[in-house]
Amino acid sequence: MSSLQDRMKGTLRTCPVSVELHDIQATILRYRPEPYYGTHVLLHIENAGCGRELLQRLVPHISSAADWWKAKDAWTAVTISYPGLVALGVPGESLRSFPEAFRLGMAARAEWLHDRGANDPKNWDPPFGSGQIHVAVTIFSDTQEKCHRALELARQQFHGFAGVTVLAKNDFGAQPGDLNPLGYKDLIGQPAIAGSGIEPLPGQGRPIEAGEFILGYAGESGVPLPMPQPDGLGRNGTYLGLRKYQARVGAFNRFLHANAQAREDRELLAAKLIGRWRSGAPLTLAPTEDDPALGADPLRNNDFTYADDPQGKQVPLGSHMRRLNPRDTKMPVLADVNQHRIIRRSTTYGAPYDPNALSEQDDEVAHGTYFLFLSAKAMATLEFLQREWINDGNFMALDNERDPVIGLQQEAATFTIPKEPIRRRVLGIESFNVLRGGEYLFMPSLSALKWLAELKG
Amino acid sequence: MTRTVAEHLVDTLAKSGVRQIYGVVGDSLNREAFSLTALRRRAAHGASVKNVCSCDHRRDIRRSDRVLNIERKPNMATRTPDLEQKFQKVRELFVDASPISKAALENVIRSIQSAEPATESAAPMESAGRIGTRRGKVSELTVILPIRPGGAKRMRAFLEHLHGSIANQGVDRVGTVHDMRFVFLENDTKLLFCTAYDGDWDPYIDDFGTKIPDILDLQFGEIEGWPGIRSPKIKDFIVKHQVPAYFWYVANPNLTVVETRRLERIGKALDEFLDKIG
Repeated sequence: MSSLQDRMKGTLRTCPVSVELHDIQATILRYRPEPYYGTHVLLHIENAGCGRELLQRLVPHISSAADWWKAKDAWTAVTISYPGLVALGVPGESLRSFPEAFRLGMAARAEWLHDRGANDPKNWDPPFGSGQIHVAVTIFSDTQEKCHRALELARQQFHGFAGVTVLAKNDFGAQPGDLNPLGYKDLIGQPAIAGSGIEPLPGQGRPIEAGEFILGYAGESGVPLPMPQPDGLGRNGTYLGLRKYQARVGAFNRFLHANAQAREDRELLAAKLIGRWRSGAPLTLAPTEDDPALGADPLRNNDFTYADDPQGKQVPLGSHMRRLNPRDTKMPVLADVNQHRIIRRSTTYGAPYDPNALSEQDDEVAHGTYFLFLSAKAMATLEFLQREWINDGNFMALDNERDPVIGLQQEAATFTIPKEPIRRRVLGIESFNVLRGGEYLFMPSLSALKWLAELKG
Repeated sequence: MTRTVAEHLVDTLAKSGVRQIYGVVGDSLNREAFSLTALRRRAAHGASVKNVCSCDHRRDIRRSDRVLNIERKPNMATRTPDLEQKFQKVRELFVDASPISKAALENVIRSIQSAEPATESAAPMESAGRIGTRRGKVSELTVILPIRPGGAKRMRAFLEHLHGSIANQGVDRVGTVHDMRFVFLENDTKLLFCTAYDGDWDPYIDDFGTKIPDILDLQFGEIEGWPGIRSPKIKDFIVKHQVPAYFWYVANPNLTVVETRRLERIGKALDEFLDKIG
């Protein structure tokens, strides 16, 4: 595997580390490998004894973030839901110290998340929304072979173990070019984290206080965010949000065909929805046509601001990329963009993108994205994003318009493309990604995992 | 059937409240657009079309039959729940009401009975999130806060002398605040603070803490127990003193501050355009 250091071709600059990397799980800081393979395994624990035994066996195989920018091996991560913490027999006082949204779970927060209609939890794929998911084990690797070895090691820890059931297993990877189900290179933009050991990569902006992403450190406001108790359980941990989106590729392709005749026009229209071309090249740096070399180059493909594009004539104000990270956009609603960032570790599932998929049957093919994001306040951030920046347009003076990629679209939805002389409003935007499952999970530090494994009573 | 630019124009004018069009001077628009047939094909917001003609010269305007009148059809009334039950419930409680209330009640009941059925509000009253009341996109926040000894005169000084110069810009930048009301009560020992704002209760409080902390801390720093806008305890502090409105009437529940400003600009531009073509 090439490490991040390798991928940045010698330009990576290290700086003093001020977080406890050896205690922090690797996923929080290590970037998704390129190419990426792996698996998610969702587990159910029958009783506290079995759960603690499982953690005891897993702990030696869970990777830390030590020297994360140089790491090349496969890594394993483990997260625990609130029902999982209960099943492990975590003391009541400690359970009550977790945030309410985490305790209730993502399905129960559907109203707050605008997960209605097609995204309603009652439509979710099992086992999501059932409260049965207790522990999630994820393996990331850059080769299938390394992934299998790591998985075999992990599987031995719970195979044949009467007290642990595998509810679901989702293998991912081997997508040509690592493209997502709509045919795009994803996960380019990530926040720079202060004290993590490296200087920001080109275009990431200034480092954001570590406490926004890792519990126990000061956040942007200067104080640490609320942390579960006891201290040893919360410190160096974080929260992970998982949202399983099914891609309606047929609808997406039909929409492009309905609104643009020539292939180049369709590609441009799609790029306007997302903010980048399929290669990952951002519209700011490639305004009229794709530039695959730019898209593939981590030294350049994120190195831009919106200073010269206040009205969105290059990157529409309502495009996916600009909504989820407005950077220096002057918005009519005051917001601190640095308080709403997320670390993303998404993975693709199912068949690769098919540009010829046009039918409604194509919409029902099981492929899509496990959208994985991390933040020390993941629940509050998700609710903010869903309500303010994804399923509404007021913050960009776009009234009721919603995010064209993950918004839950209403009847007669529109998408505005600012241009000279008159803006173009495209009609017939549908929901191109439908929510089929989700969960909030806690990612404990390595010492917290030991604490949980050693619980008594 | 394709529509002409002129038909689009007439539709747009009708939707923005224009009721009479006296015709267009000059040859920039096809007079056929104003023909009876073309306009009767069109249905714009239930508008009915009467007395149509096209006219090219100002002198024709004086003749009343050369005017395009756009009439708005009345909204179809939606079904309302059984009113008799509601009257009964209110009358029962008003047995002990004052004579003024009782008389007014009977008048109002009579007027409801004789009027067209009221249309149901499109925006029901909901919760504004953790606490507070919301209708459509607009929420209310009402708090009664204890003031530190001597704090009221400091607050008055800030509000009177500085709020205009600094905080108004800060509050304008927030972009979601419709109004704020600072009312000193009970001999300057309590502050009634009321605000109408867009969206839900708390998504942006963290943002205030890093973007405009000093304005918030100056506005409320003289409140007894105020932990500071940056404190993790700030949301609980506000909730402790907040009283959700029992009833919340909003004239334009779908109009946010941002949208209102945008429509102001468009309305101005439209007026200028109409002036030019008029």
